[in-house]
Amino acid sequence: MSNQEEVLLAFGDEGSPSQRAIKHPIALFFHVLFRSLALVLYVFGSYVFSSSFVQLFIAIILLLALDFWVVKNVTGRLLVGLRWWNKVEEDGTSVWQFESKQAPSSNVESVVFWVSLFAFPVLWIVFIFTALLKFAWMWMLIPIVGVALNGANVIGYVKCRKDAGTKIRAMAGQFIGRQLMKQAFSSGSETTSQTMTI
Amino acid sequence: MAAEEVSGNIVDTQSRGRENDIGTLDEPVYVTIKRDLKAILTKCWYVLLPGRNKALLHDWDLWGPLLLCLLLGLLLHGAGHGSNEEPTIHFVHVFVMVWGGAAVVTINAQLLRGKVSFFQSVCTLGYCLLPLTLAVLLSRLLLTLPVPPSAIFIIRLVIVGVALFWSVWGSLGFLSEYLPANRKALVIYPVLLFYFAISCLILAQNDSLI
Repeated sequence: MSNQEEVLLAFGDEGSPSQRAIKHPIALFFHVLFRSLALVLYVFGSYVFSSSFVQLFIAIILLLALDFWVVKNVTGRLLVGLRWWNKVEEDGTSVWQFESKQAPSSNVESVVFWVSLFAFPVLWIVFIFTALLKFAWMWMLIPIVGVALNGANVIGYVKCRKDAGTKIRAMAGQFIGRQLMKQAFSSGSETTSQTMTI
Repeated sequence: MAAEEVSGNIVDTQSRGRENDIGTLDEPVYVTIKRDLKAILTKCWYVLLPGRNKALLHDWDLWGPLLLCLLLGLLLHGAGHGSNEEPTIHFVHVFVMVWGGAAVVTINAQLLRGKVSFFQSVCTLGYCLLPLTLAVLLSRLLLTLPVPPSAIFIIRLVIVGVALFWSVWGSLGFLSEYLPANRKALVIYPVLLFYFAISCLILAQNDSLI
């Protein structure tokens, strides 16, 4: 807890006040809502509600699917300016496509986004093992689906982030290159003008 | 020398950047929702009228398979009560059978060098469960009618048979052109088996809906 706060503070100190503010409170809320609900329902559902396994199973799977959709299609682009697609070419090979925004995003938002993106699949993996130890085969199916759906977003966004990083580096390289060229040309023209005057 | 290297880089990144620029980062949320809902409904429409369009394969999604699988599992759950009140067909059995079966059929098609990606094939097989899902709904509604059981069984058999044909015909209509010509039968047989097993479950569900 304190560790996380420290990270938040450290991130907040780096940026300007505008970067510390939360710009998309609704997106932030929905980013953690469905996955938390799914997890809470899995852990406490059978104690709190007198509903059957099937009803809980359907509710959790639908929550996980909603979470997958919301994180992939909405909160990623609003909170961190990233979006990933997986398209299929004519010959059946799948191709990753990435979109990224260079605009500075809120640091609080990006921290919440990335922490929750990685934390939930880890928790589901833990639950796979606890279900395995209890020999609860039917219950084990839920964390497996959880890992699959949450994990797909982890893979997508990590790849997208990497792709955005190389784009930024390429742009920086481009900028430096342009400056170098400008300098080279301007100094070149200067020397020629000098020789002309001499 | 250095300038030449840099200029080469510029051309490379620019062409790559343009290719990736789809421009959906700033769209409103309702546009995203509308696009995906429309895609799901269009796919359902294509499954009910197969052979019209190959769009099912071009952009896959797993919403249809998921919802159909949950509905199918819910409608099949609880059939044939055994000795200790445990249903012989459990929701989870249907869930595992649909996803596991679709995965096995797909891996088989890929091993036979079918030019279809994993999710495309699972998407197609899942959406093509639509006729069978309608069949189980119809069959359970029929069971509420006050008609002799033997007559109802024959009607249900016909309904499930038609739905099975529909599902298989639909899925093969979408998949067949991606399959290797000389090994088609080896891919078609597991697809048949997959839908046939689900049809058997539908016939085994003898409880009326209401």
